[in-house]
Amino acid sequence: MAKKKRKAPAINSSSSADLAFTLLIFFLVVTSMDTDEGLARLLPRWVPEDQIQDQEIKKRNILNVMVNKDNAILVGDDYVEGSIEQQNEQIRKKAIEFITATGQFGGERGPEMKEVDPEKSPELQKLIVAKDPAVRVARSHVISLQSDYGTSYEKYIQLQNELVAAYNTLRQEAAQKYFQKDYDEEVLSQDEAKALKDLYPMNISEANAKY
Amino acid sequence: MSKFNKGEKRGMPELNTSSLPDLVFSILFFFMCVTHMREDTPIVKVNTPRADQVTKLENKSLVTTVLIGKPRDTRRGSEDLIQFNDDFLDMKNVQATMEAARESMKEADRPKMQISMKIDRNCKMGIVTELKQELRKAQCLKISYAAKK
Repeated sequence: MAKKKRKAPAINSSSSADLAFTLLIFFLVVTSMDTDEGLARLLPRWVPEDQIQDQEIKKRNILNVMVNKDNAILVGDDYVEGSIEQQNEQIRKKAIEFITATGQFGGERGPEMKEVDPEKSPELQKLIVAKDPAVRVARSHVISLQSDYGTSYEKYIQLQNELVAAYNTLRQEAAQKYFQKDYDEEVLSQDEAKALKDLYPMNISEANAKY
Repeated sequence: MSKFNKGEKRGMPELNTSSLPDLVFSILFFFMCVTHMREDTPIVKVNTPRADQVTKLENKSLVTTVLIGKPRDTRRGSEDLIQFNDDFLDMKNVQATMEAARESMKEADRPKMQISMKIDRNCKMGIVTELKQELRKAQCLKISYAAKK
């Protein structure tokens, strides 16, 4: 008389797809895929005012980039004028000439070009100097970006962007020349990227805004 | 008459949808993992400037965001203000707040703390420079100017 064991009826799961779709749509709407992007910078360490020491930097090693409250730009000794594209092109060109000590910054007027220090930058020594012993680095150059309290932030970022672009252009050229690759951290090996960074070290000083 | 047509009209076989929920669930899980809810609602208007040399910020958990812009609520006036975590931040409290923010991070992550400054393109440099000075005092030296491509 043993009763046949009754099977539990299967749960109708045809609606689980609808359920999942609802959740899916919720997350689709809520998701923000945008990763934050920006121009990364390292600020100098804070020094209390009574301990400030004037750093001796030779005048020829500094490129002054100034922008005033009317958003007029001065690079080195010259005003930069024209449309935004023309301005960008001029700023970039001047920065590149300065970093490589060519053009109007050639010779005595440009920054000091020094030989590579094999201890400080072994990657550069091994990967680039070995191929091209004539390489010199403007190790102690500084691009000093000065703004005014009334300068618009948009203008300031435009300048920052062009200066970074100058370095990236140079590094890209060197990457093509020495490694036949694009300047891209994903394509280059760590050592190669480090060598390129040492070849054109980024020294942008953000001086305090003037009153 | 044809050899192949058996006369009986064959219907389209029904598509088996039993694996559809699995499919949808896997997409769902993907979005659940990728999603991070926006923690703070902006109370200042920020329209970041354009720049084509931007780099991505590597790790979201290391990034602290500060916003500067004109307040959305017009009763707060039309001067540029700083926003941090859902509230306005006074310039003189920046240092203490940033130090507290760093304290709340994991100890190993503290030196890698990065400040993302989302600043409206129409801001003046005055407030930006003051903020940078305060960040230097708080030893938050890694910063990033948020910009769009």
